[in-house]
Order: sequence, then structure tokens, then C-alpha cells
Amino acid sequence: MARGRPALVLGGFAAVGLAIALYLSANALAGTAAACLPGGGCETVAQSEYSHWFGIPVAYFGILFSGILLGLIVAWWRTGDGRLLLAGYAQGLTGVVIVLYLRYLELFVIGAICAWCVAYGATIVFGWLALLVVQRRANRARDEG
Amino acid sequence: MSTNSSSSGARPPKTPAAPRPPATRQERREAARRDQRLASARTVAARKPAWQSPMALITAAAVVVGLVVVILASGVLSPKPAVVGNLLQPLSPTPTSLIDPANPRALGKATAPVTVEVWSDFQCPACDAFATTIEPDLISQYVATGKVHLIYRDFAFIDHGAADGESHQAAAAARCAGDKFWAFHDYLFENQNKTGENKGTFSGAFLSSVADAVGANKAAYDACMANGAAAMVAAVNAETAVGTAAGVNQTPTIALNGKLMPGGAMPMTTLGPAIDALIAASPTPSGSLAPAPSPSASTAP
Repeated sequence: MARGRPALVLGGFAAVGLAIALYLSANALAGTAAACLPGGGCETVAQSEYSHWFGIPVAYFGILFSGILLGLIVAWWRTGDGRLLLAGYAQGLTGVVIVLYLRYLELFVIGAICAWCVAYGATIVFGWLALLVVQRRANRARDEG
Repeated sequence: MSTNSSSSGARPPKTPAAPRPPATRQERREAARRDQRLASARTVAARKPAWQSPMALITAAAVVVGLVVVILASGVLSPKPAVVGNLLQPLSPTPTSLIDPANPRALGKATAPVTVEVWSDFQCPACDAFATTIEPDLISQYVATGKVHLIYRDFAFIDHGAADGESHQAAAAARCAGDKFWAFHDYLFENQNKTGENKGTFSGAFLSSVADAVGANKAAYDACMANGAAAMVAAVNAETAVGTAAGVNQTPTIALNGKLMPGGAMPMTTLGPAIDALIAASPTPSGSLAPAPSPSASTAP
């Protein structure tokens, strides 16, 4: 199976997620508010007790998550090792579960939506869906090969 | 598989059960395809059930890992504070032995090499996170060891400056608790309204129940809180103004030896090294943004 285009799509999602996580982390580090997007709410979310896990800003975990995902995708693109793709799929699914929890917190507990956080979550969810498609194609290609 | 029967010289006996071997190229191609389909069907039949495939197992494992992360992050498994009356008891009460006798809103020795000021609003969720998750480590690692003089500073702004607002009244009540300030502080953060600000949580009755719970001198407390705690509210406003002039624009804001630090509620991973660097750089006594201890019940009329 050709890996160039799928890797570009998957890597694109992970790279955009990484950029958003870096931006939010820089704001958390500097103590500034994220730039306003339609809907607002980022300041409320950032000030809530849920913006930190174990005393660490959640955005830092986003850097770690998207960084590892991007690394897996690049490694798969370079080597074609299906295990890397599978690892990315598993990590992405873990991320989807966490993203769903975070959206629940925003909607039903904090009562504010942060557009940056939603955008980051979208990169995880759509990235995982893309990984699912690529993974299935890779499985089919293996079975037929 | 041999397909060329003519090369053998003798024709095999014709039986109705045995199909004729493919003779032409097209027949051979079709036979090969048929064999491939049969082999493929056999492989599928020999496969494990779908739910036992690596993909399914990995999917289940990923969902489980995600749920574990969510459960850990949600704090469902963390210890829950005991409830006394209508109050949650603080999980990490501030050690009373560390209270600065000269300033009931400070902990540790005034001669410590580093002064840490925490500009805070009792309604602020991030201040709550700092007070309940980071401050206990700061106190045990740096205040108790004589390295840090920790001072609580009022920056009451969430009630939009209203003298009878919850930020101001809570700050005033904590001051009115006198030498029980830190216990009052712990109770306020433990019982902060997690769903929003200015919703009536820190009412006069609630603050009075906190004063009872911490064992404050109730007569002095009631006298201090009479008439809207005007003197204490004025002191809260004065300290908030000092913070504003110094550049405080969010809570919590940490100041180290009088210098405001970026990052709001600094985790110990950044706060600790910053304090260590100050200790290493300067053995001289520390500085602070705000002047002398602000009024508290001990000095109030």
C-alpha cells in the first residue's frame, strides 16, 4: 500500500494538534489568555480546576500526545512497519476517549466551551478516524497480498 | 498441478466424478482463480473470530487505557474530604505551628531567604487548585525547612469590586478569623463552589459556620464582621490596589522576593527550581511587594 498520501493526511492532523497544544501551553506558561475565537470561554476553561491534571496544565499533555502520534506516523511512513500504524491507532482511540471526557466537562461541568480545545479535540477525533481508514486499508492489502 | 494431458501419451479413464483437466490457457487461468478463491475461503474459515483479532483487542485495550486516564484525571479515586455539618473538612490543613506570630496571614520565618507571595481570590478556581494541590508541597518542602516565608495576599476581583461581594466578604472574614486565618483559608478553598462564582456560596451564614469550624474567637469575629466588615473590606481593597499597581492581573499570581512570576498557578516543577535558584543566588533576606502586614482581626478594633 502506498504510504505517502495517507501519511501526509495523518501527519497533518497530528501536526495541527501539536501546534494548538504548543500555543495553549505557551499561554499557560506565560499566564496569558488564549486569543479569542468565536464562542470564547477559553479563559473560563483555563481558570477552572479541570485545566490542570496532577498539577500540570492539560495543554502540556497535549504536546506529549500529539508529539508521540506524529512520531509514530513519521516512523510508519519511513519504515512501513504496520505495528507503528497500529500503535498510532490505539493511541488515537485513547485520545478520543479523553477528548470526549473533556468535552463533557466543558459542556456540563464548567459550562464554557473553549474553541481552541474543541479544535484540538477535532484533530484527535478526525485523525483517529483517518487512522482507522488507513489501518483497514493496510489490513485489506495484507490479506490480499 | 499437471494440466497438459496430451504429454502423458495415455488418456486417463473418463469417469463422471472426475472433472476434465483444463486444456486451454483460459481454462487453466480459471482453474487457478478458482483455487485461489478456495484457498482464500479456507483462510477465512481458519481465522479466529472477529472479536479475537489483534485489531479488536487493541481497540478494547485503547478504550480501557483511555477510561483509566479519565478516571484518574477526574479524581474519582482520590481521597474525599470528610463532611462536618455543611462543610467539607480540608484534606491538607496548613500546619498551625508554621504561622508567623507577627503576621497571621504568613507562614514560616520572616528571615527566610525567599519570600513567596500568593496573590489570590477565594472564589478563584485556579487559586483553589494552587492552594489544595501545590501549596501543601511548597509548605512541607520550603516553609517548614526555613527556606521560604509564605504570605497570602488578597487580590479580590471576581466579585467586580463589590464590598458585599463574595470575594471581598470571604477575604474580610478570613482576616476577621485572626490567628485562625490559615484554617479559614483551607476551609474556604475546600468548600469553594466548583460550578461557578458569585453564586451565593460564601454567604454571611456560611462564613460564620466556617468561623465556628476553625474555632475562631466568635465574639471578635462577629464584631469584626459587623456592618459589612467595613474595616477589613477597606484593607482587602488596599491590598488589591497594591497588587494592581505592581502588575497583578490574574489569580493566582506568585511573587518571588517581590518579583511577579508568569504562569499563574506555578506547579512545583517550576516553582521549586525558581526558589532554589533564588536561595543559591542570594543569601540575603528577601523582599516583598506589599508593605507591612495588613490588618487582621488581631489588630482590628
